[in-house]
Amino acid sequence: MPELIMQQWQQITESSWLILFSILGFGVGVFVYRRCGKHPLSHPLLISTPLIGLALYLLNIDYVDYYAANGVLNWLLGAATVALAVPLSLQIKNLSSLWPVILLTVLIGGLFAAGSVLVIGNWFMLEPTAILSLVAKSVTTPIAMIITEQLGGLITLITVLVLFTGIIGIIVAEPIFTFFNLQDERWQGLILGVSAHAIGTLKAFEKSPRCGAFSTIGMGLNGIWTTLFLIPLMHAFGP
Amino acid sequence: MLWTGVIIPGPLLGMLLLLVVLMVPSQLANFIQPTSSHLIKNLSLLFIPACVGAFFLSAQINVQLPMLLLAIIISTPLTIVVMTLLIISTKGHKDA
Repeated sequence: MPELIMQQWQQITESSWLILFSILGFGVGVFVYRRCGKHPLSHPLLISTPLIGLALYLLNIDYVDYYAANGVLNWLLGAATVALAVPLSLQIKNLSSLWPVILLTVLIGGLFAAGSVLVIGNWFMLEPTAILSLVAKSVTTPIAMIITEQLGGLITLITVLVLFTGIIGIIVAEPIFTFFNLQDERWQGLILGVSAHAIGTLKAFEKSPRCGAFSTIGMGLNGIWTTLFLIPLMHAFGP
Repeated sequence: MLWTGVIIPGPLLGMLLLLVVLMVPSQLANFIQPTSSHLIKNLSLLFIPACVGAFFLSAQINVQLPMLLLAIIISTPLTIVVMTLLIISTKGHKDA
């Protein structure tokens, strides 16, 4: 336990002025995102990360140094993951009659999301590291980073792939719902949350608060479920 | 941490514990919410350091990137279709 606290303290105290790149970049990203009417393709991460990457490259700053300098932000990821319990707990009360369908959808959807990329990844004959950095793509970023770290994948890769999955998810979801005539916004929300995590949930809240609530449930439960099955599964069968 | 052979990462275990505590009716949720919602609203900031790393990947991984994106383009719609069909087949969507 004391070692664990020392380790975390070290991570925090490693922070340096280079963290300003992240904060300024985020400020610019949020500004552009709001200016673009919160369009998913103007997501703050899509705007800020190329700018920061370019700045590091031009100023000849080593990425490893920059990453270590953001210790306090990386440390906060743990706290943010714990905080996800709050919206989840507010939404999962009073749903007793719907539980069987919700649980079934999350269990099957979560398994299928990870299983399908595992199969496709193997079919494409991708590098083991690339596959390990891909399987958690449907899970909300803080949890996806934890899973990927446990699996030995690259957290620098999974964050981008999670973002990409969310954008693809919200683009394809609406036509699919229309085609299969799934009109109930509660189930649309749940599916958006399981398949497109926070980006899907944002989209769901745009439709209606009810849709957003179900998306929050889908995202939260899938994060828990995927961690539980994916880490043992990949240790047993992974590359 | 290792528990009955299942590996549960610390932050997720913390989330589960908090979830269990919050399910018991109390004022705790109202007390935590101002802080937690602030953290969640600005979550993207916390992903920036790792996300920037995507521009500094090894050449070996970089060549795989188009295939990784293609895998997602195939897998994500399939996942949504599977869940949509599942919900329709349970007829659960009909009782509003």
